Amino acid sequence: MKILFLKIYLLTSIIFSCDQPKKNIELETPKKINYTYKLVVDSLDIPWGLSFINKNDFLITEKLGFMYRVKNGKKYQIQGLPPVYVRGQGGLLDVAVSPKFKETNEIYFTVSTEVDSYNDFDIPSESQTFDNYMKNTLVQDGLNTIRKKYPFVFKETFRDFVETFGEELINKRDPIEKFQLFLDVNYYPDIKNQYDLRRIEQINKRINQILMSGEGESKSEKDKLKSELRDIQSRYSFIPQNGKRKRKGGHTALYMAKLVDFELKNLKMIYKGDYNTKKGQHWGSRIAFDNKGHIFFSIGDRGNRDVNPQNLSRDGGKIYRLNLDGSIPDDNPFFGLPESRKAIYSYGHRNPQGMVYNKYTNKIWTHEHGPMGGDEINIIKPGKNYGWPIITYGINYSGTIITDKTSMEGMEQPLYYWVPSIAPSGMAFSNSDIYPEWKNNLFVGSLKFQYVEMLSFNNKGEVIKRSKILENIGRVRNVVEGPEGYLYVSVVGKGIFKILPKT
Amino acid sequence: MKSLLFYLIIIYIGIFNTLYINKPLEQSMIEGKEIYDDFCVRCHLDNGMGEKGKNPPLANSDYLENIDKTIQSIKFGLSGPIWVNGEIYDSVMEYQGLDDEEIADVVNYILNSWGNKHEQIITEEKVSSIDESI
Repeated sequence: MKILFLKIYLLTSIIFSCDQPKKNIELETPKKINYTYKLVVDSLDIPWGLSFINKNDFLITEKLGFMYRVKNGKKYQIQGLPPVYVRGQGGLLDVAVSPKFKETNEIYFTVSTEVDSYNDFDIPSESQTFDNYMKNTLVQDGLNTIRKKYPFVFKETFRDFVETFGEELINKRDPIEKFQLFLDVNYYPDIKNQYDLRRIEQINKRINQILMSGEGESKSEKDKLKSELRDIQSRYSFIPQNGKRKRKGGHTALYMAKLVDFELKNLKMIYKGDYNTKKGQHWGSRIAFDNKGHIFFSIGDRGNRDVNPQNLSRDGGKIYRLNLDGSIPDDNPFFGLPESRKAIYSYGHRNPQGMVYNKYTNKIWTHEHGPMGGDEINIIKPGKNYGWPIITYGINYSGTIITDKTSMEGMEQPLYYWVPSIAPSGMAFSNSDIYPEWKNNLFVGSLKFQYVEMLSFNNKGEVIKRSKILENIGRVRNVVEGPEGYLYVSVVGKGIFKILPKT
Repeated sequence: MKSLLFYLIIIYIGIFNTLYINKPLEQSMIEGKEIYDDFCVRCHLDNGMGEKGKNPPLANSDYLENIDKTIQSIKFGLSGPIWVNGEIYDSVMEYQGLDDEEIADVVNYILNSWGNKHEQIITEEKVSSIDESI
């Protein structure tokens, strides 16, 4: 008898000590509705991102490639965006106003891009290096002028340019103007990447200095600089084929820019996922900031779950952390690991489209789309593996099993998971006193069931209650807490709603 | 003689091009399934049945009888109420960014799967001839 009790004790203690995430807490519809809502921005197609400069001034992205600034109730379209690669779930994604916006006017946004991955580039053969090519083929003065201004443009771009404008060019007074136009039309404005331009100027200056003063002992420095130059050049390797650019797919990129009235200036790509793929799935992406000068963002597994999420040398299926200037913090968890992408902060994710900074715990919270079943809420810890696709609570869309494992040592368990999937997008805490009963609750948009889900926690941080807010509002793409503490909800095909407490 | 050879070459290239452009239905369907599994399966599901009241079925769907409309809806996206097999669906299918060849492939796959049958192969040219205003 004693032994039986002991067994029961042991068994129960094992069951309860296993840190199983909560699931299938019943979804409640509140009987008393203490809120109302009003439409503050109408006529939006797929309003992906929303970020506030102040209470009367905010930015919205639309997936098809438009960014708006809504100032005192008026909607203005923002100019100067890079080309957006709209494909499947990809397009213009999240936008985030820098925490230092007042001083810097900087904003960040994530976007699906077709820009080539620099790792993807095949280096020209010995006999046909960039320099040789330039010497041998670009004899016209005009082209040499262009080369001085655009030393990082690759030969294919020049070839294409010459083929298009060759004869005209010889008589043209300002080839730079023409070339600029050609790039803008045919390629990407990334060519204006300010950082690269500055660096190239510096390198060229230094190389010239070295050449002027005789190579001598500075030869190794010159070689190093040249190889850096080539590195930069290779990032701009646009390879058109027969006049029609061969499409190689794309990946998610993070940009920063200065917002001057209604225009983006100093556009700078500060991170880009590798390697490009034509898959239409799982680009992410959301952006959040902590209080220590970091920016976090997500990229989904890009439809290649067996290769990307568990591989630290490839992008996709990761949460990333950068400094606000775009540099990589040297205390990132994989900073010292050879072959790894140093911006990675956590991995093993599927498609995170919700991310918020928890002010009380100073942690980044995310949620992600699972396959059929198995959407998750995760608290992000540095260097941790969140398990996709080795462990999951979901199954394939065809009903077949992905893995029979829902947990494994060394892999993080979600704080909560949804079966069936609600298709979560957007995530916000209510930190204010505007909705007294909602304080410290988490709000998640549901694309699939067309409502906002409110999750309440006990003091251990476990989900204890789920309630339906804004039932049947439409496909909810985003939930954001504004600067005054009001909650804003972006709904597909409708616009942005502001939730107001009932008085 | 020289010009005869020239014409022969032209004819040969012509034949080769036609063969190359019109890939066989089987190949188009294989490539179409890949597109389907990437872009369509979440809503229309593996069996093409969709979800009643939410996303219309593609298997035995009377909407597909109008091929031009079918192509158009994939090429430009679709929103607003439509009737499918006697039921009304009022949802949104987003523009997916597929090129004409990919659309031809996925339409060939849809028109010839789950009991659907369509005799004529949909070509890239057919897709490119469809514009937004039909």
